[in-house]
Amino acid sequence: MNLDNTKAQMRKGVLEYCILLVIEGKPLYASDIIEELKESKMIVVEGTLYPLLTRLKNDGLLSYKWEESTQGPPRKYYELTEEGRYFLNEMGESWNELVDAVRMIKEHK
Amino acid sequence: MKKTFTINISGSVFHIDEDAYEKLQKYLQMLNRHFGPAAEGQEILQDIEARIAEILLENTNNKIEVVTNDMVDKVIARMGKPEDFMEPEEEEPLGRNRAEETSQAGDAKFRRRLYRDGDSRVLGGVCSGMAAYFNMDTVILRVIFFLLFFLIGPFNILLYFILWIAVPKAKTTAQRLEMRGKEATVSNIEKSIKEEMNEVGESYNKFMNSPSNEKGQSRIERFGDMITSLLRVVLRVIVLVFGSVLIIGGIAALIGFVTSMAVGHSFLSGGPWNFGWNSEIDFAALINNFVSPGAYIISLVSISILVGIPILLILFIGTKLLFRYKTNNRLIGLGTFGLWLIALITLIVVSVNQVSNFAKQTSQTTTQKVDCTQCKTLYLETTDDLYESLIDNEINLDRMKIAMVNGKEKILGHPRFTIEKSNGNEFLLLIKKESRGRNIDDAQLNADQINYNFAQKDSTVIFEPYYFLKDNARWRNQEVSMILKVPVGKSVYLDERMAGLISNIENTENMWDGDMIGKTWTMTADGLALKQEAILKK
Repeated sequence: MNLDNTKAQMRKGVLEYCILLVIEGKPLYASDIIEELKESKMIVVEGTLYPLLTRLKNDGLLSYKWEESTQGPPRKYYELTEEGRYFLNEMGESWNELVDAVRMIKEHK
Repeated sequence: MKKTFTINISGSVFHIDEDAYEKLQKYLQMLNRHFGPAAEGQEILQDIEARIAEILLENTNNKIEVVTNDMVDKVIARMGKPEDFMEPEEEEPLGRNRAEETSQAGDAKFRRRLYRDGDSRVLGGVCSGMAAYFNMDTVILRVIFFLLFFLIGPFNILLYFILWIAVPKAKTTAQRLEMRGKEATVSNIEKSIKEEMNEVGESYNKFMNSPSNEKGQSRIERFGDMITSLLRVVLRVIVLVFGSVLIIGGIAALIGFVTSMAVGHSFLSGGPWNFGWNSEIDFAALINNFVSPGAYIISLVSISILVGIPILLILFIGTKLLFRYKTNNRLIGLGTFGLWLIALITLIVVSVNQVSNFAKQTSQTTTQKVDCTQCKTLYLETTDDLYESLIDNEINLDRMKIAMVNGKEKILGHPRFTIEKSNGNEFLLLIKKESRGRNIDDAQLNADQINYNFAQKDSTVIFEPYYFLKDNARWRNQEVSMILKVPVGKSVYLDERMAGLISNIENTENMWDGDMIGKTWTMTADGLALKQEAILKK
């Protein structure tokens, strides 16, 4: 098994959750979301973000508004929807369960 | 010296070196191929381009006017190549199917729906799908289904097929989730209702927090909206109950109908749910009496389809209401309707065809002398009516009825009896047998199927109260009428039992038939007149 592949798989699963977490606090531009995720070392390339953002939007978990910008083309301003919040809570529980499970397994060794 | 191009990315204008331009173009084409032509893919592409434009704008200013190769390299490194995008595994390609999944995920509202489980199926995945819905073990459900066979016979299989056709297979992940729902520790219907109540609560909260509320909408309007949400819950419960009733009714009707067709006695005839359909009659044999053999099977099949399909429809609507799944098999719906129409048309055609069996009418009259030269009064009575209790009064074939005698069907009827003045000195009995048929000869043959007898003992004539058709004769509106010619000066006595036979006997008193019995009548030149002294029967 390819180590990088496995690592990538792990990240893939969590990425959506991270995006929702970042947006939870307040509405953000796509570029802000990228910065946060980069800072937390969650993503490396920015291109990763856009497909996910669009998909989340199409699933009804995010909504956006267009905002004009002085520095260039208009930007999308993303925020969570009701369903998005619900999804976030569910995933949060799932995440906690996962973390606990892994911890327990580690402790049993 | 290098050539520059002027391009615009996402509406922002850039000057760019020739080689940088080619590199950038290749990169964008690669992205385009990766994301595909569908709407969602194009949206992603536009967002990426906007981001690229932002980045480039940050890097150029009044001093640096041109986008260089290095800058493009940096942009590509920053944005990443398609293989670097950590996209989750998809079953179907981006774009079209996402829309499908979206709409279903949107519809689902995280509720449980009945699907067929394509992953763990023996036949159609019906049982495993239902097991997932009810959160039961699949094996148990399969056993129940099998046992159902002993309760309702081969409808077991029919029900399975209905479900197989009507219940959609869970194809996408979203559907699979809906099939299983969340872990349930309470029964399913209760859960649905709970979810419904939650939804009401949610929508109420949403409403309370919504901007329109802050605008100070009138209390009545808000109250009204809350009531409507509540009503929706009540409606859902009613729908569930109605669906169950339809299912039960549909199954009962189906059983009753088919068994009365096939077996001769309805399975449910003893029950309180006899819908006025006299299930003692063997339906199939009944039709046999009307219809010539060639058309018999066709008409039987047509009737089965005609009645069976609406019953199946009731069952289908019932299960659909109860389990709330979407169906989009228009082909099957149209096909079934077409089949029903064909059955209807066939039946009409056959019926019209059968009408020609009644086209022509013949009658034959035989005249019998009734020997009564010595007697003054002729007594008229009938034999005992053995068949009255056996007659099915719900079926009327013009004058005739059907009786079940020893398990066999007999078609019988009352002959008509009237009295007229005789021109001679003798009593004469005219017996007219009539029948219909496809042509005169056919009608004649049908008339020959009539069986009627009477007997004479001294001065009493004993009629049989019914005329019969011979076994296996077809009903063609056969009729028997009798005229008794009475000479002037002679009398007749009508026994009570003649009541069923007499038909509009002319008399000078203008007395109604029913009142004429039990009396003696004398024929005069003007017609029948009452004899003054009542003579008791000997």
